[in-house]
Amino acid sequence: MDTPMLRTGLDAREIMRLVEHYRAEGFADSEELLDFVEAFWGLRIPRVKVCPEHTPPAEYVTAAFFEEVQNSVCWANRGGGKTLNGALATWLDAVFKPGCETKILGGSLEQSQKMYSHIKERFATPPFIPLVKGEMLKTHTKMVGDGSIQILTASSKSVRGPHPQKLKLDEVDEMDPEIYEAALFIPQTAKNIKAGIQIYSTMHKAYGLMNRVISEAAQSGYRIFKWCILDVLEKCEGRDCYTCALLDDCGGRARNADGFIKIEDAITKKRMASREAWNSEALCLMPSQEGLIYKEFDISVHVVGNEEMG
Amino acid sequence: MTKRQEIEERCLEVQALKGSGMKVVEIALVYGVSERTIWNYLKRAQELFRRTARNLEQEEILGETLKTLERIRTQAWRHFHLCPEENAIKVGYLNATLKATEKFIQLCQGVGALAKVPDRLTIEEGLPFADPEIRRDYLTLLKKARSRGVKIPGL
Repeated sequence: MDTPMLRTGLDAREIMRLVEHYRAEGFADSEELLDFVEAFWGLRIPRVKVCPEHTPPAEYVTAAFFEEVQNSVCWANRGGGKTLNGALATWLDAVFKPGCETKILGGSLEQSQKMYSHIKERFATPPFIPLVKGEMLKTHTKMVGDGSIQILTASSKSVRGPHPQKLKLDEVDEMDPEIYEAALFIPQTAKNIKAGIQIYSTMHKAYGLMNRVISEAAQSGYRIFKWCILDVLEKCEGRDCYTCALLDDCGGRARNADGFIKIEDAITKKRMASREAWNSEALCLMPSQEGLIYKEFDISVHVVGNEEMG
Repeated sequence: MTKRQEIEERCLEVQALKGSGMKVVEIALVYGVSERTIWNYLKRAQELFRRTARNLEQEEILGETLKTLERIRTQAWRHFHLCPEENAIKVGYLNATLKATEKFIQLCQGVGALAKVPDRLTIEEGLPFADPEIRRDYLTLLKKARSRGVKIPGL
């Protein structure tokens, strides 16, 4: 290690100086941002592409921070870190983009609070506290430089208010469609910070709101970031694929993984859940048909035009 | 002490007693005068305050405030350096230093003593973080310390 580095050591002042440097100059690239997240919060966001058709969560975090994408949807498995990544993206914006305002709207107030409490408990560590104006309150935080983070209750009244640049919608599958529609009008570009909507959800309802968001994503201009349990699985080492309960789904891909979900936990979940629930909640394959009266109903098969009816 | 000065002093005492929560009737009993006299004293005390306020020099107030902020800044900065452990208290002192400096600059800008306010405050000593290699090494050091369970101040 460098000599001045050892001389200076890990003291609070150097750490705060580094934060100030990034606030002034920004991050050189995605790698530097992810290293910063890992060094400052001990959070290693999975970076490796495990399933070829999916995107690793790290790609979402960097794309959101560097504003490579304005509107996005994170369609991911249960426990895949959607809310945590949303909280991280919100905090990074608040700290490193002076004047950036964000509103968080969850499927319920509890869900909104979950993202906010991640920010308060996990990310608002001492080096960042001087950047908070006053104290972090129960529902909002004001930042030095006029930024803010606010949570909204899931009511139509709360979504009609001031217009911040960023809007985070957590668990839209649980959201009232009317509130969702009204919330889309919230973000507005200001202070050189682009307006953006970021949506996070599993898709567990066959004909739910998330299904609609995904179906209309291309038309609405949303980029989809999708990851499943295999993308956030820990690296598989020393296991025999042929005796593994995940073989059908994994096919050996977890050998390259670098996530955080324990393989044993994934196996237990697979054993306990129904196939449909596993597919939709863990593999993000298709929405669960559970709870529907006609489970086998498929629009493409069972709905025909008048001409076909003769 | 002249008669006038005596009365003015009495007025201020009465005002202080009223301010401490005593009723007019109780104050009248203390001084052995009528309630009406106490009301007159209170009225006169307010006139005295107004006169004092009129006589205050704006520059004097500004100078006092700037001096106070400077004192807070210097003391917090000193405490920061004297703090033996790298902990939240030390970070708190640094925070207080930065906030007092910020207020000082804001005040100076407000009265036109400073033409331009710096966008952000930085402390110049220490590692040259402008060098990407230094930044990378420092982040690696933090990660390594974390993975080995070394206590990092403030993290």
